Amino acid sequence: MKQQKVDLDFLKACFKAKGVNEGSKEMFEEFASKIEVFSIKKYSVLSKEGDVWGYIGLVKSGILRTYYIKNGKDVTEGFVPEGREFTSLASLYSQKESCLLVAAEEDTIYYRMSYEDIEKLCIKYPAFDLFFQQSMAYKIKMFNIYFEILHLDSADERFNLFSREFPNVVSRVPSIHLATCLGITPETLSRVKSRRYK
Amino acid sequence: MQKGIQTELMQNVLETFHLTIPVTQEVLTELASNFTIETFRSGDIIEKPNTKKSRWYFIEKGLVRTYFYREDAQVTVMFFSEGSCLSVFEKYYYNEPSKFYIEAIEPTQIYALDKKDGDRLRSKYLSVAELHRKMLTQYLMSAQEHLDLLKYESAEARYEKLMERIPDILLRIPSIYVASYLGLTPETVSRVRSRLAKRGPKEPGSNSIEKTNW
Repeated sequence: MKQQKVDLDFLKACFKAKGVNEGSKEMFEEFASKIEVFSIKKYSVLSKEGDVWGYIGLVKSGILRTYYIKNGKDVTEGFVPEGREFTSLASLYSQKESCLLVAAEEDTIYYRMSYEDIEKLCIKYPAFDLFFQQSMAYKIKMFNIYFEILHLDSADERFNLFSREFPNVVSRVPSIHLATCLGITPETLSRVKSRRYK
Repeated sequence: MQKGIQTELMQNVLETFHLTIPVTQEVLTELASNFTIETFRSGDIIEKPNTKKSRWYFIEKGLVRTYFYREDAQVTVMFFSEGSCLSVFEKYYYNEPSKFYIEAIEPTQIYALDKKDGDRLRSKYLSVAELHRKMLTQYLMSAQEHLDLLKYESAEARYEKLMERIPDILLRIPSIYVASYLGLTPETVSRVRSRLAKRGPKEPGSNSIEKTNW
């Protein structure tokens, strides 16, 4: 479903943001040619339980939410704003079915590329391989932040750390989902926010 | 500390990653000559913050943990045993300072690749680039599993899942570290342990990933 053109400047900016300053015109054009562009409305859901993901997504504009349904409850794993990637790691590593769900919290445009195409580009272009590795390393950094958040005892501390690390997310997502992401109740989050924004 | 490991040992390490790009003898030899073998005693710090030094580690034998300090207390993040690999990624990939420590909690032998050599070799050889990609993916997978555990599971379920995944290794980890790792107090861990002991063993679950670190 190729609805829109791929924005090459956006791809180049993503590279720069990850500290990758190389990248030939040929590489970016081939990269763009392997991308499928998707445009989805706020609240729509991209995936369902049991999907085997074969791709990595990159948000161009808008914000997505990754979550699981656990014991009937919607628990947010994280948020994916502009310039950030998302995929099911279970599927990436071992082509297994995934329980990961993804929903849009705003009208969103995202780019999609298959694992095979990514692997081919990594082999063909060192700059692309570097970009891919930097992206994975960034995800690890994010996990470390989440580990730290979940080891904090106070809800205020959790919220503060999250806001500091992800400043362009807090105001754009519903409190109920931010709460589950931080491992606290929505009521607690309300109290935390009113303490902070007095 | 001498640089260079035997090519047979290097071959064994590579085999755990199932590379699709063939590794030539030339690459194998050069790669092997850039790794070092190091031995640590229990309690030795393998890598600490405030040093620019950054390396990829492959655990040949033993058990290590990563942790950081939050107000004088150590927070244990992950454990790595034989066959797994790790690095302090902020340093290796982003040249950023990090607050993580890597510590041996048993006598441990590792193969280490310095960032300088790693950067050089992965831009020189496709197979080494693939090795890095695979090491990153393996690590990410384990980190994801652990994050899911912390976030979604109750205290008892966390301990149970850990018991399912790593029954033998769990016995090797001091319980104070297990508690920190699971985001529980040592008292809670004791309580869960005795509750589970009363209940008796469950059927062992299957490991979803082979040779995983957790």
